[in-house]
Amino acid sequence: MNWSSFEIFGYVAIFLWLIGFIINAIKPGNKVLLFSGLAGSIVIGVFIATLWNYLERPPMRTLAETRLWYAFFLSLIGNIIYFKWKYSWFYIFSQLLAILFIVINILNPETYNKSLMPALQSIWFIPHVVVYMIAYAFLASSFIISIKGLFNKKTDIQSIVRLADNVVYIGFGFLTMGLLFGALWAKKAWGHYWTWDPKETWAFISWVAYLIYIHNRSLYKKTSKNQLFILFFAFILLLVCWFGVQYLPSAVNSVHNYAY
Amino acid sequence: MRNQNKKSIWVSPWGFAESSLIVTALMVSGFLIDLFSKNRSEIEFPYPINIIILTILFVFITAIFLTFKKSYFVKWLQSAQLAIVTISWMLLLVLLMGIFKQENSSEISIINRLYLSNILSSSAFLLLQLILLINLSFALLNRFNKLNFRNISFILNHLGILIIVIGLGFGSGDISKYTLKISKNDITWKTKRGDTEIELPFAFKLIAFRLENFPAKIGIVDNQTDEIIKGNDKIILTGQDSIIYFNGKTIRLKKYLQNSILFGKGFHLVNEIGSCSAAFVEIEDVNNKKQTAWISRGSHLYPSVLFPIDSSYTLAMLEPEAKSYKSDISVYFKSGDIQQYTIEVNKPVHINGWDIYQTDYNKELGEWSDYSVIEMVRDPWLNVIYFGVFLMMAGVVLLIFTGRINNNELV
Ligand code: HEM
Repeated sequence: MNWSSFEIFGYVAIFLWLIGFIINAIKPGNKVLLFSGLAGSIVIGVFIATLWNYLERPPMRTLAETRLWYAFFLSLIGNIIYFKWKYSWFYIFSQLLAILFIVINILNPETYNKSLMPALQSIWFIPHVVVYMIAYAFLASSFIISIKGLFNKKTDIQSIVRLADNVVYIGFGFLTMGLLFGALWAKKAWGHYWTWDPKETWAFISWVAYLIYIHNRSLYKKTSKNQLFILFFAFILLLVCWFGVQYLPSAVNSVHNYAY
Repeated sequence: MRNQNKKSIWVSPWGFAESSLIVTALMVSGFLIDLFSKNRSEIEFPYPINIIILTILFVFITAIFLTFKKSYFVKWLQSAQLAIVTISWMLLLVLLMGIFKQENSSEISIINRLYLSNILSSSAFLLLQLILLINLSFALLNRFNKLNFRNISFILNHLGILIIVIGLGFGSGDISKYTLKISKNDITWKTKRGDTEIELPFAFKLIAFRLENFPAKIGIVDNQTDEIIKGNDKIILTGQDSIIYFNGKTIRLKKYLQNSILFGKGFHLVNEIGSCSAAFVEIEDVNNKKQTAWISRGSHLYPSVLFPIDSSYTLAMLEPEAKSYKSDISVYFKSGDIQQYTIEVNKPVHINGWDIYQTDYNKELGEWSDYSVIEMVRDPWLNVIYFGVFLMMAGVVLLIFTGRINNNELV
């Protein structure tokens, strides 16, 4: 199965998630929503698996491929958080983001690319990228949560920051893992842990931003909107790391350049 | 914690305001020092200076901690306020790195004078590392002092990062690294660092360089822009996808040869220097009229062969991408021993404390490269850093599971 059949999978997943929206509109908090929500994630998961099989390499190379993982994990987290805390607004936001990523992929199909450069052929490749994708999905969730807290005046700040904490600790944990895996791998592949190439620099910047959030939370245990501001800006930095870096002139020779 | 916000500045206990002022003052002095000092050289502490400084530093820190444990000053040194300010400055400095291009330039400009193009070597960054180290050490000593289960994640994370910071900062002066271009013809036993020649701990000779390419892709080039048309369905892959539809035409891949040369009317499989990949394609237009052609990427010896699809587009074979490359090398030891190794990307070999990496080759000649570039690195602090990384990984896994527990205790 290659990218040419992606549209079908994408539309089916979007359809299933939208059914969830309708169920939610009729009966907020209804668990039936989970069936269609999870089914949507599974459809994307199946596409990833078949694409992997077709490409004969992990589909983690191009931006289009990483968007797939992102949609997959994000929708999954949306379902889990809905299941655990019954936040239907969270379900809607995370599924909307997942839909956005699917739509971007449908509108901009990238080239097929079967090849994997030698430096990427490593046992570290899959853990490094998967861990990062999970981290990004969790941290994107925290971004959604921060927006809700910052812009919806009716939100109870205390419970929203607690929810954010739950998500951020997990996301930050995975982010740290991704960073460390990357460094260990770089040592093996090139003999340097860390070369401060633009992608690495921005990865460090976004990691530090979340580190500030965690320390700030440990200091000011009383919840406040300022803490949500940190989360909001941290995710902006993460987005630069993820999408913005390839547009920097200094990134031309970066090993992290996914630009094709 | 609440009345802390209301106290006037510089009255103990110090908090956020004092931390911000002190760290910011130190950062500004760092930049001023750089601005007004004449080209200072890179600061490095090779063994044994690094060990001596480190020992003195830690004896000093521990002594201060044990003597003045209860004082506000030590409480401040181990405070999260100081940590947040320090980490925020770290964010700021690295952001500058992300914005200003980092390069080694001797050009005299305000940016270079301020070390903005070499932030990692700036005095401000060095000072920041020192504050980080002090803050981490005091916070850790404090937690060690009252060890309990809740502190384990804290200790793993912070001890881990402290060890990493020390390993990177103090270990950098002990790293030896040589990049060597080795060939089949002679034995490489020395290298140059600046103007001085350095004898290597062992000598190298290339036995064979082996490179394997992925099958080359075939693409359509826009004659006007000379660019490959990107997007879905626009590039033929060899193998499974052997067909594309373009501007009403159907293009089929009939045959693909990885190593071949043009002989007579077509390409033939050979395996010799300069042979190149080639493909036999069939192009069918809307009226079912068929045409066939050979296209080839060419090599350093042979020109590429293209095929015009119509007046504005050309069918071309793209540069093949390397799938793997490796070098078989002989290593000559001072004892007289000779041993053979194979080094490949992601698969370095370890010889007497040195790691040998495959890094490059003659890109123009590709698989017929006449040399191989290898790098040998000796880093005595490697295991120190691995230990720190290991601690931090354990700490972070704990953080993932316990982050929530701490939350439930929040006000
Ligand atoms: C980069 C250098 C770092 C510095 C200077 C630093 C410093 C500090 C300080 C001074 C505290 C408060 C100490 C205390 O409450 O006793 C603290 C708390 C904390 N730090 Fe860090 N830290 C750093 C990195 C990290 C990292 C890498 C992590 C996680 C992976 C982390 C996670 C935490 C957590 C979770 C707390 C709160 C602990 C608790 O309340 O039990 N820190 N840090």
